[in-house]
Parts: sequence; C-alpha cells; structure tokens
Amino acid sequence: MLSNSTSANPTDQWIGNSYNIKPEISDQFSLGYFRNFGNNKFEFSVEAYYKSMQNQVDYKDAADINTSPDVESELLYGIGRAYGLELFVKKKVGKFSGWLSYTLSRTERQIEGINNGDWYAAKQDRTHDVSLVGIYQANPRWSFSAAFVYNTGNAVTFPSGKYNVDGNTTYYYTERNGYRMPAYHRLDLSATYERQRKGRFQSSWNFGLYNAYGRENAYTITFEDDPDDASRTRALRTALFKWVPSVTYNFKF
Amino acid sequence: MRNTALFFLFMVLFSACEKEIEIDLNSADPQIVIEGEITNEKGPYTVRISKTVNFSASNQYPPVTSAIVTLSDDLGYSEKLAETAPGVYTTANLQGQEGRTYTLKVEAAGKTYTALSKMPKRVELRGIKAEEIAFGFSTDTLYSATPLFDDPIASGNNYRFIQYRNGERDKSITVFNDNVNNGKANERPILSQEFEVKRGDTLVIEMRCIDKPIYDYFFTLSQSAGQGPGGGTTPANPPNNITVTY
Repeated sequence: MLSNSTSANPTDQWIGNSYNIKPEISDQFSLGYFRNFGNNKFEFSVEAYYKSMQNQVDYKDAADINTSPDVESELLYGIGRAYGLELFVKKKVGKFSGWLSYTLSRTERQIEGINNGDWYAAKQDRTHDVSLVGIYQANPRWSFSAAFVYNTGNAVTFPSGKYNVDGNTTYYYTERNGYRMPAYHRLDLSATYERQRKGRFQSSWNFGLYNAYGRENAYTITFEDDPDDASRTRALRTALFKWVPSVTYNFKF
Repeated sequence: MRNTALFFLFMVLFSACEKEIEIDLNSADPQIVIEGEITNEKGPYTVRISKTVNFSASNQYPPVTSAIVTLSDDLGYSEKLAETAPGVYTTANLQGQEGRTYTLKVEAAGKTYTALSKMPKRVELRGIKAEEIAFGFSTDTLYSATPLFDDPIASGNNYRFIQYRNGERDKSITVFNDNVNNGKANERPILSQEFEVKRGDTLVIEMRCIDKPIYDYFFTLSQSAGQGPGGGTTPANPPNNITVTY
C-alpha cells in the first residue's frame, strides 16, 4: 500500500505487485499471557510482538503521483520493523460490563534515499492507542453505553523553515515523517431502548451522540501565508465533524 | 445531475471547520537560498541570495551580502555581478540569448555553488482564450485562460505560466510540459484555485520557456504545496540545479 504522508491531503492507494514491486513479506514473533479472573467474570491478556518486514514501498521525496506514466518510477524499496505491547482487560458479566485496551507500539521503515537512509516512522505509526468501552444494562428495556478512543496522530512531514521563491513563500523540510498530527480522541454515547418482542419481530431504538464533547480532530493541516498579515505564515487545521447526533431504528425477524 | 452531487457533497462538509492552530515546529539551521533568472528580454538580470528562517519567524529573509557572483555563457563570456542592494546581485552588460547555456557561480559563506541552465528556443505565445469554467463552487461565472501557442514537434519543451488579474499576480505555480500534446496547438487551460477571473477583469499571461531541471523544480514545488489535482505529494525540498562544492 502506498501512503502519501502529506498532511494537506493524506491519501492511501493500493497497488498490485509487479516485476519491480515485490510482494511485501513479514515475519512476526509474539509472546502473550492470557488469564481469566473472578470465576471467569474478567478476562485479561498482555501480549508483546515484534515484526520484521521486507520489500517495503514508499514514495521517494517529491514524487510525482499525478502525471508520472509509471508510478513505479516514483517508488523506493527498503525494510521495516514494528514492535509493541498490547494490554486488554474485559468484564464480561453483570449489569455493568465493558473493556479497556491499550497498545504501545512503534512502526518504522528504513529505505535508502529517504530520510538519509535513517529509520523513520511509517505514516501509520501509532504510539498510543487506547479504547475504553462501558455498557450498562439498566433494565431489560434500556441499556446505555459509552466508548472512548484515543490515539496518537499520524506521522507527517511538516516544514522546519521557510524561504521565498519568485515571490511565493516556500517551505523547507528536514526529516521525513518527523512530526505528528495532533492526537485523535473522542467519546461516543448511546442509549438503546428494546421494544416489546412480538412473535418473531424484534425492534429497538438507538439514540446516539458521536463525538460527545465535540473535539475537532484534525483531518488535514496545511501551511500558508496569513491572509490578514503578509509578514507571517500560519498552520491551518481542518476538522471534519464535531457533534453528530443520531437516531436509529433497528429491527429483525 | 452534477448540481445534485455537489449539493450532497456540501451537506457532508457543512459541519467541517477550519481554524488556525499553534504548532511547535523545529528550528533548522538557516540554509542558503539562491535564485536568479536570465531571459531573452533586455537585461539587467538579477541573482538574489538569502537565508531560510524558522516557520514562526516573520517573513523577512536575511540577505547574504558580499558574495562573489559570476555569470558566464558557453561562448566564453563571463561577468561578475555587482551587489546593487543587500543580497541582490545585478548584471551590467550580459544579454540573454536563446539556445545559450549559462553557468552561475556563487561563492558565499565558504562554499561554492554552481548551476547550469540552458535557455530554450522561444515559442511564440499567440494569444489567450478565456473560457467559462464549467463547474465550481462559486456563484459567480468564472473564467479560465488557455494560452494559445504551438508546441514544437521535438519533445522536451517545458513552459511556466504566470498570470496577472488586474495587475495582481497569481500566487500558484503552473508549469506545462509536452509529455501531453507534443507538437500540437495547446488546448490546456491554466487552472488555478483561488484565482478568480470574472468578466471585465484584465488578464495578463507571461509565458516562460524553461529547461527540464527548472520544470522539475517548479513542478515539485507546486505538488508539495498541495496544488496538484491529487492534493499534493509527500512534501520534500524540490530537486534543484545547484551543486555545492566546499
């Protein structure tokens, strides 16, 4: 998969293998400990992994991804590695149930011609990834749930300086993927009402609020001259969604 | 049909918002920036040397003074440029001619920078055709300009276009090459986001025939700035035609 790590328009593209693009290969080793507690009320696991990858593909610096007749001429190949620790705990029974998972990881690549041949973070590298879900069954009709997710932002290439070319502000780049997008986190809340079952027909109403505290998670960050003040440049963040309420009717028969 | 599709796109985006944010960007050692042009129009020509600044700094780029700047061509003519303003080095007698290869040599801060550039043969810009833009998000009728010229049959022609609307210059970078439409009359318009041309505007287009290293430089610059149709590419410093010797 080819990932374009510009923060202005982060796109991914799948590409088939060819004579030049060899199939990506990986070897993974993992070690884990799994244990149930409290008479099988709780589930707990911790797992560590290490993965080594070959035939990794990335765009060369300043690749032409639009008009180049052969995208393979814009690619470079190298190796990668990923390692991490995954923690998971789950409460399975009772009025209140849910789970918490946390992953600490690093995914990086080394490709001659990119970042001076030094290891650099892959775009998808996520240092921290947290998921917390809680479900409360108040009575046979009503249940409430909340889900919270938090993850470190994508690794991106931001400018480290600027200069002027032919009257336009131009940006100077140093490390590939040396910066991070702001962290992504949101809370979703929902309430479900199960209606009286009529024979085989069963239905429910669900009321949800996605992104309950309206966090403006950054979708893109672009750099430009300040339109109100020509003597400075600024970073502009575009966020997609704030609060998104929803009402859903589900049925099955 | 098209309007319905756009309407739905609007509905999806209506809750999106843009906001300026503070980002902590690293500082980098100031890098030397050298920029200069020679054209087939009458001189004098300038070479400007400055340094990069940190992103959070003001847009004032410190000039590099007292550099030794020499321009020479492939017929043996050579001229040392005089510093007429801080960081600005100007020619006195040099007259640019098509087909010549020019060499720039700059000695500054203990290093020598060399660049070569060949001035291509002139291709005549016959005129401009303004056409209504078929779709867009604006409620006004907007126009795009198609520069009218005939690309020579030999391949390897590269062009750069600079637009001015009522005297105001378009900030985006437009370069064409003849990978597409070689040897034919040009029909490709200049599409520039955020440069709105309306009825009654005075539009001036400057066409520059450039060589391939300069085409690559400006093309990469336009892609890194996110102006390409795919939204840009992994940002990096553009490949330039200057080599450094220490």
